[in-house]
Amino acid sequence: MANAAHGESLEHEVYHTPFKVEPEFEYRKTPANYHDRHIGTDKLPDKMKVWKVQTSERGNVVSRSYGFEDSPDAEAIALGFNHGKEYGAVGIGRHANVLQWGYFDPPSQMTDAGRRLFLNCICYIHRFDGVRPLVHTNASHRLNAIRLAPLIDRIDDKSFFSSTFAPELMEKYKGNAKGLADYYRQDIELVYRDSRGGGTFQIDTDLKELSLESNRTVETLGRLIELLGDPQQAEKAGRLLERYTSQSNDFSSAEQWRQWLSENKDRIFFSDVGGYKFFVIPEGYPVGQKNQTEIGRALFR
Amino acid sequence: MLTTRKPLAFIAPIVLLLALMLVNCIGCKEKGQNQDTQEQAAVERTEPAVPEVQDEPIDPNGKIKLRILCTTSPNEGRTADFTSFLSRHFIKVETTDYESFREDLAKDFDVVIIDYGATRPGTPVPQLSLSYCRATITFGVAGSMVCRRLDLKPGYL
Repeated sequence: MANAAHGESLEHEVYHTPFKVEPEFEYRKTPANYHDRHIGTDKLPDKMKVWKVQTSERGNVVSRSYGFEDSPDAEAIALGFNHGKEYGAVGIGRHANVLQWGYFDPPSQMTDAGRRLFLNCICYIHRFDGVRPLVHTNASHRLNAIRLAPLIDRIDDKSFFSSTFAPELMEKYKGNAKGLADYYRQDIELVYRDSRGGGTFQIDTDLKELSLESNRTVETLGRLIELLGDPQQAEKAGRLLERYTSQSNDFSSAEQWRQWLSENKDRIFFSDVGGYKFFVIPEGYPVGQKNQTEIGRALFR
Repeated sequence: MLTTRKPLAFIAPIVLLLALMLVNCIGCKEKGQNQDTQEQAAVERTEPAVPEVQDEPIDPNGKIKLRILCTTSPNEGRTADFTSFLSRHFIKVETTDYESFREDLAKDFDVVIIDYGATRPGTPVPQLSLSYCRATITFGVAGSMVCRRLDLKPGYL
């Protein structure tokens, strides 16, 4: 990462309290890696608005954007201007009680705006003292299927992909990496990773057969619970509920599922990173100001 | 006349040059002597002493009522940089060794700052468990290694 952060979206309270952060903006040429790694179909601008966080040239480390905010316990606070990963990679981000500051310079070498933001981050993270994560990182986000697909024609060692793409897909799309990327892109809402399938990215054909368009909406969850009452679909619906929830062992009847959904539907979220499951936010759990941001969607326009 | 004017014309620029060097040298010394003070003044000009939006509890000295524990870097100057800055803003700032940091060492503090000053991965990582829940700021690549140990999203890839 370089020494700057992207200049969009400074509405988060951490830029305003207790110290006002007033960055000096500048425009920098969009790094080549942003274009190379952009998985959307739109074109990134030639220049991007950034602000300098620290004075020395080299920052330190950014976190991948894919799935960073797919659970309400995590939020990106500053997108790091970087020359290694994608646009949207996180320079400063919080997950539960931990706020990662990806820049390197100590306070004396931060800019004034950087120092103020650092102080604000200390005050902000204090609010999350004692807060444990809702999910732990244990799966790769679905957008990585599109990101990694171009590599099948560049990396000869097939074992590199053993837990990413199924062998039959590797064979089918040999010499046609774009075809593999498009395969996932077309059904991105149905991608999941199943440990029984070697942990590779798969398209959920069960959901497709049920004409369900996404595996990560609460509507789909509700529909699957409804289908438990359909003798012809109950077995498949039960299998899918087991795939996408952790409640299958707790409930033995459709009524229990309905009651669970009714009680929790406003607090249910789906996380790829957390293991391609639906989770429930416990009552009173402190979510950040940006519990639902646009970064993921913006990356995949 | 020509023989007397020529040496003067030759010597005059040298004298002028020496004088300029002397002045410049004195200037450098003064700048060097005052550099720390000047930097400090610059910091104080840009850092508000008291939070502008006073929604954080502050003490009579204008310091935020948070107790900060900061892990140490092998670079002592870096650690001092953090502590001197933090001490200007928070009521209590102490340090503890990075490698041997454990959650129980943070029980009398409000926020932990985990910094090691590493520029590359591969540094040792404190032995924290997945149940670690103290409010913490992790710093740079060593911080992202800590996040990885905790299975958190900013973990180093």
